[in-house]
Amino acid sequence: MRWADKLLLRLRSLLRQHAVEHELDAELRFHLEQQIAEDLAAGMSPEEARVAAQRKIGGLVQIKEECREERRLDLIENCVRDLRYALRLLGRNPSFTAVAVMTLAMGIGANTAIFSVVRSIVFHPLPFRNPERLVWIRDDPSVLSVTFQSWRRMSNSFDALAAFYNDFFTYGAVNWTGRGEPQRLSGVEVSQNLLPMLGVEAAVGRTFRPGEDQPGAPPVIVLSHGFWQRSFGSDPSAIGQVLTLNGRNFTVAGVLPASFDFAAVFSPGARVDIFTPLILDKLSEEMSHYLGVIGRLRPGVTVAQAQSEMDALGKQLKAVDPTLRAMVLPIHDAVVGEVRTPLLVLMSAAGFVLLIACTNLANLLLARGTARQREIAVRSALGAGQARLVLQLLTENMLLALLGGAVGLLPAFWLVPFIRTLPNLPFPRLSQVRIDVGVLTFTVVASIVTGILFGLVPAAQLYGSAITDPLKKGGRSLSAGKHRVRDLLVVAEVALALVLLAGAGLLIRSFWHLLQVNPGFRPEGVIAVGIDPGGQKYGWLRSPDRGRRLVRFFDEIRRNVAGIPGVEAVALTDSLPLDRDRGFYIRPAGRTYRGLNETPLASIHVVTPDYFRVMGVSLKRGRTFMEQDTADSAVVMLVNETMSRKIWSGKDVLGQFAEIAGRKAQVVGIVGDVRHSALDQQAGNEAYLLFAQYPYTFMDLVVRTTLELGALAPAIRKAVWAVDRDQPLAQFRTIQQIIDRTLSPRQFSMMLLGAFAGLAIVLASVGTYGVMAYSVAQRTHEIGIRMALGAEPVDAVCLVVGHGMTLAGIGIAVGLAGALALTRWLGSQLYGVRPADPLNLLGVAALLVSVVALASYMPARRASRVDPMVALRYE
Amino acid sequence: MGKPSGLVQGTLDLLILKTISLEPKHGWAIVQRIQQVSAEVLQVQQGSLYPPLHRLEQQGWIKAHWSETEGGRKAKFYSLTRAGRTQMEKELANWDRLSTAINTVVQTNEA
Repeated sequence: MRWADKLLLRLRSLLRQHAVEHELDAELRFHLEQQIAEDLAAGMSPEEARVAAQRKIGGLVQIKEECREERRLDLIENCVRDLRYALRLLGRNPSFTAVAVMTLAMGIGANTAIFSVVRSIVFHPLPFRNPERLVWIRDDPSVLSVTFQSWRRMSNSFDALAAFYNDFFTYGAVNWTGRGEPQRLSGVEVSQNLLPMLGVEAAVGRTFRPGEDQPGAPPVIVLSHGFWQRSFGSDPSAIGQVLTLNGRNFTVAGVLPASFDFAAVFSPGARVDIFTPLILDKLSEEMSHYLGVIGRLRPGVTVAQAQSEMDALGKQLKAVDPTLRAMVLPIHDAVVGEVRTPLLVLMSAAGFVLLIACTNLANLLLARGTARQREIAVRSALGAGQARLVLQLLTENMLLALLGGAVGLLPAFWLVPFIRTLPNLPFPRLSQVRIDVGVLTFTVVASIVTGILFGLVPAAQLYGSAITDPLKKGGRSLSAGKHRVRDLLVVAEVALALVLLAGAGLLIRSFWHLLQVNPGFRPEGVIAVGIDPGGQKYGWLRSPDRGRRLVRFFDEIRRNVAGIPGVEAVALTDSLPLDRDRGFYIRPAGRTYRGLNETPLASIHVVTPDYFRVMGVSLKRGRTFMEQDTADSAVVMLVNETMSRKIWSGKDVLGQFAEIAGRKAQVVGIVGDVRHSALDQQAGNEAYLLFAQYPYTFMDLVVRTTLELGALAPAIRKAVWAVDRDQPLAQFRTIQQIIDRTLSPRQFSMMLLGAFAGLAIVLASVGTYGVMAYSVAQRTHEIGIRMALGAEPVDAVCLVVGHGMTLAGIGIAVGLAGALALTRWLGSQLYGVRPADPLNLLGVAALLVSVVALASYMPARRASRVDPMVALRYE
Repeated sequence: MGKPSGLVQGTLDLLILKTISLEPKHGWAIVQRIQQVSAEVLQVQQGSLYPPLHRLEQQGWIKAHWSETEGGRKAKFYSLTRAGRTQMEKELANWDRLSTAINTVVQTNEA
């Protein structure tokens, strides 16, 4: 029973403060009145009795405070009072408050922004039913239709296996005609069971029915939510309408929910307008690798078990798919894997910034704590317990931290939409990055932790010291211990800033190296636009006149565009550098290879003669294509230098024959290497084929021009529509935009880490200056004595700067160790520079040394100018 | 800081417990009683009685209730709980042991 009674009492103290407080008043009033009555009876005058009674009972305020403390009733009440006191205090020191809040805002704002990105992209579960049971089964580059069908038949690890065909080459683009201007849509083919397996249901209408993925089924499509909004104004009557896509009629079956963004998960940076059923017919089996495969694990089956089954199946399927090497990945890893490390690196960097901000704040509070020692001593003498005082300090710190967090949200609110709409950034689920309740919770928690962190040092200082000392000492003197704490904080700041600067330096230098790379072409003044008449408009794949009709169509376009004023040269290509690529086996005449594994691969680029002029690709030997090369003349081929070296050792290359993409071609020229897959990757084997001899439908028109993209686009559109009014054009792009797109993830990392490093150095220099200025102020007395004894001003400066340099030295040593340990996480983000690059480390160390030197020199110089007599009297 | 001078640490608690062990008393009466019984030797700053009272109440050794005094006024009366009685007996025994020991030492020295 006792503990229950006690609990009741405590609760009463906590919850019914007014009653308890009232009782305390009444109790003490009764005592006084009783005493007064007693004294009156003893013959005192009323006035005397009152004074005597008050003297006997003692200080009422103090008694009450002690009683409250005994009851511990004060938690909330004190909080409110502390808060009010803290607010008043902060208001009284606006400059301190401003510096503190801004410092925290930088730290917390940076963390909030980056957390909102990391949370949406890395931490959020994928928006599917039981996503933890989903796996992505990969083969390099993707899976064959026959392989997928065999897996479906033979494997036991999965409840379901589904596939999608998100053509990495044409982006599943189709032409939509018959309704206003022709449009280019991007679509994806999905196996009928994919959407049910992911747990995605139609927002309007329905998804695909079993049987609709069989050859000969009536063609249906499902719209993405975005496309439905854009093209149908979210009108439900879109269901049942007929859309003409590449000349075939499709009936709209349904619209997917806004929450399902296929592209954001399965092909970041792309856009998906429509979904069609993936039909695994004979034709599909003749195509090369092209399927993405998703599976749902059977209950109880682990990823490792599924992997070993796929390994076993791989051996059985050697005959149909000799290069098969399936890899089973949890879907979250497959989607997020590539961006996880860079994003976590940025998150840690933001954490470092916050740590530096904390260090600065701790410093500020330490300095202020010293100034406040007297105030605290007085309060303590008036009956405030030590725990109570520490609590009050903590309240102040929390208030500061929360204010900082609130101010830090402002830049985050601006930064997050900015990041979300970065146009070229191929991060999964980027469009879902936002500041939501989760992020706000993070900000609040981060603020509170920050408040505790930076409040810890000053609170510990208060807790450890005898509170009454300052009263006796009259506020003089400081123990050496506190200097050591401050010194430690400077060391920490320098070390943290060095790590961030080293990381940012590496990324900036990598980026710079990349910009110096010669890509092998000249992007300036070149614009491109995709033109694809689509599958069957000019005949079936094998119809005999298809090639000629395609060539005629594109020749007319070339002619029309060449006639536009301001156009210098026009060409076609099926694959722009840094945009898309496809590999073919190449079989040089006179050689045999054992199996496909040993047969060399080459990327092919189907182009028209002027391509090299338009793109500025250099001819090294022989000749380029000419208009005299036609469908009927000898089949010709150009190779890049790498290929001539790798396949023919660079000797007698001209005149060699090789079989590629189904025809035998003769090498007539060697052109310079082009970095086709990425700026940071050397060129591989590249073969250029002539469009007239290898006609395809999916082409990019490239134009070298003196005009701006915006000025030229309408003219090009008109030129194309003069040939075919129903031919849509894809988005116009400059080649530079394509390059920027490939650089954007690096740029993102570099800019953010650079910004964090910038914040770090600003905070570290302010912090160091604060400590040095404070320590100089504390040592003014000592400096005065030294100067009175004959020291020169320069000695005083040396004294202080030397101290600063010692601290910087230690900080740099610690920071270098940290940088060496941590920058390797930048891994693949580096190009042309090693994590331990001495130039980089020396550079940032030198930068920090000069910052600390300046931060120490300024206060030191001021101190050295002080009149010794003034300095001696100081304090 | 506000502690009754001349009192051995912790004895004020014992005095309070003992004083209210016979009948419930309010704070003022407790002070009067302590001074009266000790023939004014134990001078307690009157106010300093209250924090221990509140503490003892929180500890569950005494309990408080509002009641009328002889003069017809409302006052807060404290009385001993069962746990308080046990506690008091324990402290009394302690006190006996301690004072006997001190007495012995002091008298031995005088002899």
